Parts: sequence; C-alpha cells; structure tokens
Amino acid sequence: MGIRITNSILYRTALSDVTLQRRQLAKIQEQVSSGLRINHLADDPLGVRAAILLKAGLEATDQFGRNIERARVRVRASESALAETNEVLIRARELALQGRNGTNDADALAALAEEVEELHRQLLSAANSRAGGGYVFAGYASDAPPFGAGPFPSGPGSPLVSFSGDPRAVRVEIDEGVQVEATLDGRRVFLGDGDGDGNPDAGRENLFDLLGDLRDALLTVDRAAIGSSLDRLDAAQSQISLERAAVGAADAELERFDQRLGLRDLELTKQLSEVQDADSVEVFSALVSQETALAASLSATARIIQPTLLDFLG
Amino acid sequence: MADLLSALDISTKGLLVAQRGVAVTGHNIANVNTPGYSRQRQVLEAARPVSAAEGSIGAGVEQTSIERITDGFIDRQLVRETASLASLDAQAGALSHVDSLLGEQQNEGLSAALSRLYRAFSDLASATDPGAPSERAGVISSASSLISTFRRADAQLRDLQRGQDRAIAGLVPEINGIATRIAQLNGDIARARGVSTPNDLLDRRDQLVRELAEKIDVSTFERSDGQLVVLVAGGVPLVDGVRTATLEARPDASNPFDATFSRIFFTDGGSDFEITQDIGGGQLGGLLRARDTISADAIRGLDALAYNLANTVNGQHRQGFGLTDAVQRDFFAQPVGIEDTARNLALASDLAGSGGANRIAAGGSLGSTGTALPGDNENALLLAALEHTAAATYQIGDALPPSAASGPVASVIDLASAMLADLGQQARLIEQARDQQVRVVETLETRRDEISGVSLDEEVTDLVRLQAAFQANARVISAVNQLLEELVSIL
Repeated sequence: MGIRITNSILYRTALSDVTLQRRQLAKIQEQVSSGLRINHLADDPLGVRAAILLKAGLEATDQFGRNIERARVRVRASESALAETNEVLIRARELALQGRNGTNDADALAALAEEVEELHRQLLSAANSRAGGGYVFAGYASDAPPFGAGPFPSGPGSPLVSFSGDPRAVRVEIDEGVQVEATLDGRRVFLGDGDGDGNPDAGRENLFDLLGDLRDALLTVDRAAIGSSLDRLDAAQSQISLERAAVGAADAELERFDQRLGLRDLELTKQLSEVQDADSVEVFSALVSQETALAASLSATARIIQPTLLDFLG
Repeated sequence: MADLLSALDISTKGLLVAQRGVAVTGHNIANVNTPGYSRQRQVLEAARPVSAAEGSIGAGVEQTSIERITDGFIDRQLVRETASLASLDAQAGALSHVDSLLGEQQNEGLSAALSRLYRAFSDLASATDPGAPSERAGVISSASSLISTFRRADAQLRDLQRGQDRAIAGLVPEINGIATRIAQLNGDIARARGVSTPNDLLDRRDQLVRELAEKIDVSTFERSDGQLVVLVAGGVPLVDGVRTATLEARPDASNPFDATFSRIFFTDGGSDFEITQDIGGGQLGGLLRARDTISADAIRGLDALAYNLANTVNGQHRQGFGLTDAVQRDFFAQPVGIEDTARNLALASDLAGSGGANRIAAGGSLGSTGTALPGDNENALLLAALEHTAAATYQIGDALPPSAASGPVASVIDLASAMLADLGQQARLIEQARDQQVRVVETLETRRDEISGVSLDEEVTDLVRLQAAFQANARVISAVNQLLEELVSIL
C-alpha cells in the first residue's frame, strides 16, 4: 500500500475481495449440488483422465461378467448332455450284459435291441442339444443340428450318423486377453474323431456306431459281437469322462473369474468414487467456512468504505 | 497610499487564487468517480518581489499553472497489462466453453460412447444366438450413437469458432472508431496547447488509449509537439497525430475451417498489408488465438480421435466376413483424410442400409456356404479386443497409411482421455494466468490511483483550508479598506 489511499482504491479492493470470496463459494456450491469434485475438465485434469479410464474399466468388468454368463449357458448345456450320454452308456452296458449272459430267446434279444434303438435316439437328441438359441456341439455352425441319421430298418443295418457341424470350439473373452472355450467339438465327443480324418481316433469310439453295432449284434444273436461291445462301451465311458472333466474344469474357471471380476468391480468402484466424488463432510464444512469468510468480508467492507471527513465536519 | 493600494492588490490576488483553488478542488470532487481522471492541483508561486531600498517587497501569490498529477510510466504499464488481461480473458472464456462442450459430467460424453461400441462388439462375440441378430443390431445402434456424439461435438465446436470469428469482425470497426476519436483529440489538444496544458483532454486521450488496449495490443509515444502516436500489433501506426489508418477484416478463402473467416489487414491509403499474426494482445488477440488455436486444436483433436477409431476398427473389420457374402468390408466409411473426420464420420454404406447388420464381419473365415458361419465369432473377438489394444496413432499432419503414424502408441480410449485431460490442463493454466493478471492490473490501477486518484478526505481538507485563506484575505481587504477610509477622511 502506498502513501495515498483514495476512495477508488478502497472501493476497488473491497469489491475484488468480495468477488474472490463469491467465486470460491460458487465453486463449493457446484460441488455440493453435483456431489462431484470434478465439475469441469479444468478442476482436476489428472483426475479426469483417471476417471475416464476407471469408468471404462468398470464397464469392461461388467461386460466380462456378461460374457461369462453366456459362456456358462453353453458349458452347462454341454455338461447336461454329457451326463445324459453317460446314462445312455450305462444303460447300454446293462443291456449288453443281459444280451451276452442271458437267454438265447430271439424275442427277448429283439426287445433288448429295441431299447438300444431307443438309446440311440436319445443319444442323438443329446448330441443335438440347444442352449441360448444355438446347437451346442455344432461349433461355428450353431444354426443347425450337427448330427443326422437315417431311419432304422426293421432288421439289422443300423444307420450311420453324419456330422454336418463345425469342429471348432467357440471361444469367449472373460477378461483382458483371457479366452475360454465354451463349447466342445461334437465330432470328437460323439464320433471319437478328433483329427477329422473320418474315423475314430486310436482308443476312441464312435458312440452311434457303437450303439448301432450292439443293436445289430442283438438282432443277429452274435454273442461275440455283443461281448466286444462291452469293451467298447468301457472305452466310450472313459471318453465321455474325459470330456466331462474338461467341461467341469471350464465351468470352474468361469466361476473363478466371475468371483475375481466381482472383487475387481468393488475395487474400481471404490477408486472411481475416490477420484470423482466430493467428500460430503469436507465439502459441507468448506461451504460453512467460506460463507463465514464472505460474511466477514462484506461486514468489513461496509465499515471501511462508508465514513469520510464529511461525516465529521460541522 | 501606494503601499495600501498594493496591499489591496495583493489580497485581491490572494482572494482570486483561493477562489480558483476552490474551483480546482470542486473539479476534482466532481470527477471523483470519473474513470481515467487525474487529479489536478494549483501550482502556486510567490509573485516576483519588488526590489527597493527598504527591502524586497513581496507581491503576493501567483497561480502559474494547473497541473495534472500522473505518472506516465505507470500509465504505459497499465496499457500493456490491460491488453494482456483482455487477451487472457478471451482465451479463458474460449477454453471454458470447450470444457463445457466436451466435459464428461453427464456420462453422455465421448468416452462413454466409445466404451459402448466396444461393449457391443464384445456382446456380439459372446452371443449364443446363431447369427446374433440382436447383438448385431446393438453394434449398429451403438456405432450410430457414437457417430452422432462425434458429429454433435464437432458441430458445437464449429459454432463456437464461428461465434469467435463474428466477434473478431465486430471488434475491427470499434477499434477504428476509437482511433478516430484519439486523432480528433490530438487535434483539439494541439489547438489548446498554445494557451495552456489541456489537462482534461489529455485525461480523455489516455482513457481512450486504455479502451483501445482492451481491444488490441497498443503502445504509444508522445512527439515533442505533444501529439500522440498510437502503435498496434507490434508497431503498426494506427494513429499519428490527426491522421488515422484503418484496420479491415477481410475473408480468408484459404482458411481450412470456413472460407468466410476474417484476416486482419492494415491500410492507410499508401500501404496495405496483413497483420493477423502480429496482433499479440487485447480482446482481438485473444479471440484470434481462440479461433485459430484453441477451437481449431479442439476440432482437430476430435478429428484425430475419429480417424484413429475408424482406422483401427476398419483395419480389423476388413479381416473378417459377414453372413451375407464373401466380401471383406470397412465398418466405418474409410476417411479420406484426418481433417474433418469427426463431422463426416459414418457407417460404411453397405452396413448403413437395411440388412446391413448381417454384413458386420464377426466371422474369421468362410464356411462352405461362401459366407461366415453363424457361430463364427473370431473376428468379433478381435474387434472387441481393440479396446485394450495400443497401436501407433495418427496425428494431424501425418501422411495417411500405409505411411507410419507419428503419434503415441495408445488405444483409442487412452487417446480420448489424454485429449480431455490436456484440454483441462490448458484451461486450468489459462485460468490461473488470467486470475494472476487480474491482480497485476488491479495493483497497477491502485498504484495509479495512489498518484492520480481523488481522495475526498484530501479535497474536503483543502476546501477547509481554502475557505480559511479566502476569509483571511477578505479580512485583509476589509482592514485595508478601513485604513483607506481613515486616510481619506484625514485628507
């Protein structure tokens, strides 16, 4: 402050102080009404960047959760179909045992054969399982049933089952850079043909042929063939067991990631709140203190700018 | 007798000087709130004494002049800092507008819309429905929404820019008007100077220079004959004594944003040249920066973002196949350049029409149908993964692919967040600079007032003093009068 204080200096100083107080008050009021610390990009540029990335992260986490759910729809359907397939194989085994060890009566054996035919149809239905609108064992060709068979003749000569689906497993992204196979290769599971050469791989069985051959053997009373069916059914059950284990592992991984995503969601939400939310206690006390400062400023101004010499001269 | 008469004369002069003193004080008080007024003061001197044998005989008081109390140095500083403040104010205003337009408060901003597109691609990749009809529709819809967001932001920024241009054009006649008035005052001052210093005219001229400084950067110097030369835009003479030059706003057909945007020219009958780049202050300087740098950079930043989005998505989309045929396509209409991409962003024409959703290239390979299989999601997975994929980004000025990109390696969302954070930082810095400058100008104004401002207390005190002097001088006259009467009655 210099030597002379003129009226204009007093008014200007008073006004600029009050204006500053009001601006600060307005900023705090903005925070109170929006609940956010950051109401303009200029409020906290680094915070803006962090908030954008956190929000994107939260959305991604939600999305992965949705993807996991959809993957599980297919995984569970596969698991269900494999369980049913296992039941079919167990029942077929019982029928085969009865056929090998039991009576020679052609009618009795024909009855067994009819039940095997029924099992064949059940298996076909399981292999053509649908979930979420698509065929689960058809790979990328999910719009049509992957397995088809001709009709059963009245005698032996069970029809062949063809695979018209796609052998590739559908992958689903359940986290950044993490993909899980949500479907199985139907051709490998049910026809035992993992390498796609048209024949079952070593140690594997074509389950439909297996049931068809058993039916034929029962109809033709071929005890030797019935006997070898039993061995093949053992192999088939191991085959299905392996697939079930893989599906189970996939389901477990999905569950694990789902939990992790849940925790990450909580963590990101917390971080986002810390970056962008106004601390209501802090803001409210700043509001009160700023209002007090403004009142003090206004009061002091009123006292300073009023009196001049004229008030005191006669 | 002669002594008495000269005593009368002295007191009369004293009376008159006191009277004039009251007039000067009255003038100061009347102008206590006049902007730019400099307080005036009687300059008094004892009149030349008469030398005589009995001693040097005083001859009373003389008012030699009325002086105006100013400090030219502070005035010049004030002019400079006022121009700087006006420029910063205009720029801060512009950045504040851009902040509001692109700010993210409502969750409806650019980054939210970008995120939604990647969500839609991910939904497409995880769909269980063969052919994923609803997820495909979702991709089209979120892409359309993103396109609208880009176009709207671009339109709003361009509107802002056009407003700035209109303000620029509007300032030019105002500047010319002030220049004319300064020149007129120069004329009046020259005429008045012959008699005595025209204080009030000088004040008014100074005030006009300050008004001019709010609009454009100004510097002045006074010639020895008291005429003011006003230089603008770094040294161009707008006013020289009673002569003025003119500033003109002419459309710039080569402006990449709008061919009607103005450039500023200086013309004085003889020379005619452009001064747009030389205007460094005042509102005009600030608005030019706002139009040609702040708004322009924001629009181009948006363009670069849109370009990198379209480029990366198309790059991946072209690798895949849709459900309708074996043709590999773009997802967005591939931009022809980086500039103006935001305003022209659109879906590829094949995808925009009816049945377009089935052309989205979710599949990674062709099936026996000659199209992608309905459950083939390989390309969709890769499209969704773009969200986290950092790649070299293109910047304004880069040559188009296959030339290399010169920008940082980042994902599109990274780029968006960096752009917005950068804007926020600019806005913050300018706001701080502006607030700082407000204080600088206030301090200078206070300093000026300390020297030139009217203090009512001071003036009122002076009134009391002058009243007393008047009364005392009158008393002397009265006493001399009595003495004269005595003398006359003797005679």
